[in-house]
Amino acid sequence: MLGWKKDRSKEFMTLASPVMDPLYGTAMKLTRNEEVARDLVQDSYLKAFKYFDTFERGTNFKAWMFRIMTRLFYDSYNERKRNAAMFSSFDDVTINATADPDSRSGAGERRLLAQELQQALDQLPADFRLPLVLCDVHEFSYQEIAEIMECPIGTVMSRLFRARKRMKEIILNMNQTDEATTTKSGQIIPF
Amino acid sequence: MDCREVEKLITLYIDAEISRQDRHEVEEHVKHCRRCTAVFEEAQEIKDLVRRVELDKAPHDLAVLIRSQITASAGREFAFNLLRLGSATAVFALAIYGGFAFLQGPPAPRPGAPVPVEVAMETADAPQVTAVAPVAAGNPSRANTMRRFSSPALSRLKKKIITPQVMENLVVEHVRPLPAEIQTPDSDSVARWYASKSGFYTPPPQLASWGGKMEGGRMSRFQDREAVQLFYNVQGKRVTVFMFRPDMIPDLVELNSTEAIDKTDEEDYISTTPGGRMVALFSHNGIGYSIITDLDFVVMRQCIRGIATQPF
Repeated sequence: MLGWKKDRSKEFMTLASPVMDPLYGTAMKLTRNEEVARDLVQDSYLKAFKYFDTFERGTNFKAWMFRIMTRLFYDSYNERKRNAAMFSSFDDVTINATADPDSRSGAGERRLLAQELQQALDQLPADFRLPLVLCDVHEFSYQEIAEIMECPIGTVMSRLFRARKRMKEIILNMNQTDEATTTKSGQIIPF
Repeated sequence: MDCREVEKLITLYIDAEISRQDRHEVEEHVKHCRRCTAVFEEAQEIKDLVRRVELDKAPHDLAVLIRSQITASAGREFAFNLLRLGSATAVFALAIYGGFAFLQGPPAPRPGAPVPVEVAMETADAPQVTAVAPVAAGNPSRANTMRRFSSPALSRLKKKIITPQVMENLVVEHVRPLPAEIQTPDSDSVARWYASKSGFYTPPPQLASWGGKMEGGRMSRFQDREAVQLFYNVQGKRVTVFMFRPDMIPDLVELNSTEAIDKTDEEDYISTTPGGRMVALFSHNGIGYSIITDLDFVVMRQCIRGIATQPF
């Protein structure tokens, strides 16, 4: 019996330890709050361990953990949304860019700093940010993302499409702001 | 395939989710369409940019905390399963004994032995009802089998001395804003003070090596007996240490050296409360210690090592 107990937690930690960094990184991207991200990851691990017996051995454990975390995030988001605006809303992001969609100015025309890239990504609503991170950073397939987010594949496709479109708009907006700042700072200001 | 269709497929193309046929058609279209080429390049560029995003790594203390919580959770599950298995086994065993006894009938009393009143009455009226008790009692080998089966596991459970009740009492004392009877960072003064009150002639735990400061102490109660409660400030958070007579708690783990720490299962002396606080309970040099902290596992381990390596 003791062996069973230790084997189970050992098996779980063997599978779960390598997932901690990607999970926490994504939790940070989702919540944009260190304390909330810590709680989210902690709760996800405890829940995953509780239901570890339901995990089908041989399937994608990382995707399984992400699904648990995503569900917890949305549940707690909905709960917290009722009480207070803990997270920035999925829908509160207004993109002011007036970029011409046919513009040939490439999104990466100006080399983006890592920090700016983070900011651009953070400006996306969570519904768009999550599939983008899952797809481009963690390289999950559409099928896996659909399972993680518990939505149809078609929704994953459209969200990715719209997420990239919005990212482009945000980056273009950043470029324009930056150009304006450069012009201003380039002026000679008399003493 | 027109531009509108191609634009939709570009996402699938750059994510390598497109079918072979669609891939071919998209490639053919893009070759001859400058607008779609631009859309394609931009989408690819965004993907490459997002790929470069560096995600935060999990803090070390979070990993340690999760590991300890999983271990604690496994312990709780084990106890629950054991109790469930124990009750199931007991019911099963009783059913077997009952069935067996029913088939055997009541045991014949030894010649000359006094016949129990219940047996005498029941043998006359309803023998099948009373057969269970005499058979179980009269078959010590089977009763011992049950005892042998459950005893190691039960003794293990008994060793789990940090019960929820103990934890709750300790945490209540830890969080209550009680005034210190002696308030000084000077551990010698604190030691002299509690020696006169409690008879503990041992220096207070030294937590200074990792930034801990003694704040003071008070006489308190632990498990309804007198105890010394010491307050420390470690990294801006309170660490409470109780010192008490170890005979108050049986099976207290004795930690007198780092070797003893390494050899002992941490579950036997550290536990995590549902609120995430760490609680430790052990003895050293004839004194029982309990540590309660809001800090993480690393600090708790350091506190324990600090006490366990104090000279006799």
